[in-house]
Amino acid sequence: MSTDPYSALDRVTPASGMRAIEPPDEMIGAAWGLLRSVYDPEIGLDIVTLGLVYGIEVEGPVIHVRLTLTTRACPLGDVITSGIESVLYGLPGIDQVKTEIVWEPRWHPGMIQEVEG
Amino acid sequence: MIAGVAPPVRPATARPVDSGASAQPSYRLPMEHFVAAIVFLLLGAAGLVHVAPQLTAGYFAAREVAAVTHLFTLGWITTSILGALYQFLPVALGVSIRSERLAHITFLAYTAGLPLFILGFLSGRHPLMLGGAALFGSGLLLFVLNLGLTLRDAPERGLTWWCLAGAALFLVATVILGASLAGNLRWGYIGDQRLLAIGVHLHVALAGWVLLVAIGVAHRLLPMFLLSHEVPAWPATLSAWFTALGAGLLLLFHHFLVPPVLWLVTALIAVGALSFVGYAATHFRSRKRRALDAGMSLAAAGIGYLLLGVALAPFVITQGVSAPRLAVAYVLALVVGGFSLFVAGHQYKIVPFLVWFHRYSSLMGKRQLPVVADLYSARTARSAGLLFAAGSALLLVGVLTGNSLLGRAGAVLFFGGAALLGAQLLPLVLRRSHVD
Repeated sequence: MSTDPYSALDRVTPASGMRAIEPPDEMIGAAWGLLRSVYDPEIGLDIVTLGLVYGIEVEGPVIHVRLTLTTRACPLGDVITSGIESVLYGLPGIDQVKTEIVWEPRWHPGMIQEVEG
Repeated sequence: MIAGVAPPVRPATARPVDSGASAQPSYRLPMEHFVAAIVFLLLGAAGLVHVAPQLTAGYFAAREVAAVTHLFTLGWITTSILGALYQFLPVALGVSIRSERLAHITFLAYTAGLPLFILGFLSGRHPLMLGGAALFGSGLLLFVLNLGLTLRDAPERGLTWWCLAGAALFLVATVILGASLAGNLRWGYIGDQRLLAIGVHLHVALAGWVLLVAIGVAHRLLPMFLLSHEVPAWPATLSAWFTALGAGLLLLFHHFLVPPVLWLVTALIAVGALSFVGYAATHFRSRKRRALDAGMSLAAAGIGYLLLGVALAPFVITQGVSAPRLAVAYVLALVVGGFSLFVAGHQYKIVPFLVWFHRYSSLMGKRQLPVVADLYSARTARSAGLLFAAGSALLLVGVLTGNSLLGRAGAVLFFGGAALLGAQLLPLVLRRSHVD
């Protein structure tokens, strides 16, 4: 896990603290960074490292995250989606966060970026 | 529109789903079971120290030995299974237990009846024993009713469903056989077939109830705990079929257990158990998480002891009551080493997770939170695992060699493992709920 899960938010927030419209590519990058603060507490890895996030789209003030879970039996679906909503509402210019859990393509451990320990 | 897509993944087909979390039971329901199970484990482990000399002498039919066996099979293993299933059903089968109120009533009847049964058993007071048996037996039958109604409503009927459905039927059979044996202690109608009846009761319970549940649950949990998703499922299916067939034939022909039938039943259950061991071993070998945590290490040790128990089975059959210590070692390998350690490993996985879920799930993304592994000391958990595994091994050696000192030393070590597990998990569960 990231030692400072909110560091990505720091990168996109103006030094003055005022709300600003971010360039889209930076917005997407910031969103990927923020999602690293949402994690599977049992595995101990964030959802980006786990490869659970399949895509992020931004359309105006709406950000849409498409993700999966490690298994259909995973009890953490609601926890992860509410976590995603919590972190992404922090992005400047975003008024709505939409999450969508999908099962295709089916997740497998080969999607994990790296596992330590 | 702008988009950012994770590079290695093909475009996904959007299909929103219900994660199942909304159907989960109250925190109290599984936890009351886990707490009671740990208390029964502590009592059973203390009892193991007490009866160790009887075990090393091969007195497997002694009342105290039977009482301790029930503390393990019913008190520790079955109570843990019930608690785990209440939590497991919504995520595995997409349906929560039909009546949570009935589940609490079941729990009360079961946990009140079992100590009465044990006390009556030990003191020879038949009304107390029979009353306790009736109480916990009723609790188990109510559980089966509740589970049956739940399974009827389950949208998915895969391997896990069939395992649980079969296990429920064998649990009913176990209760009926047990009631028959309890009545025999008062009225003595079974006569010289008592040992055979005890063997049937034990094997229907262990294979039909416990092993089938283990197969159905492991099929879902091992990939999640070990990150080992590419393992083929056919050994688990094979295991379930052979186990159910073996336990079913044992039940059907328990009055006609001539050698060919006995060997057929043994072979079927052994193939079922070995397939399960092979299936689990494949998961462990192909896991993405290379470092095994304390829970999974314990579960692996349990599977190892299960393998040992299966290996002893042919010798127990051929030598029968002429080698009582071998029979004791066989049952110890299965109950104390095998299923008890497998259950202990899963308690180390499930209980801290539920505590985390209860305390922190609403805070995900809002602040930095601990992970599940932060909630307890991994070093202490590993020490508990070592004591469990070493204690079981020493106890087995003591029994096989007839050395009571070794046997008692093993039981003491096992009790140490149980005490450490209790010292870790009970405060974790019972501490007032608050965010650290």
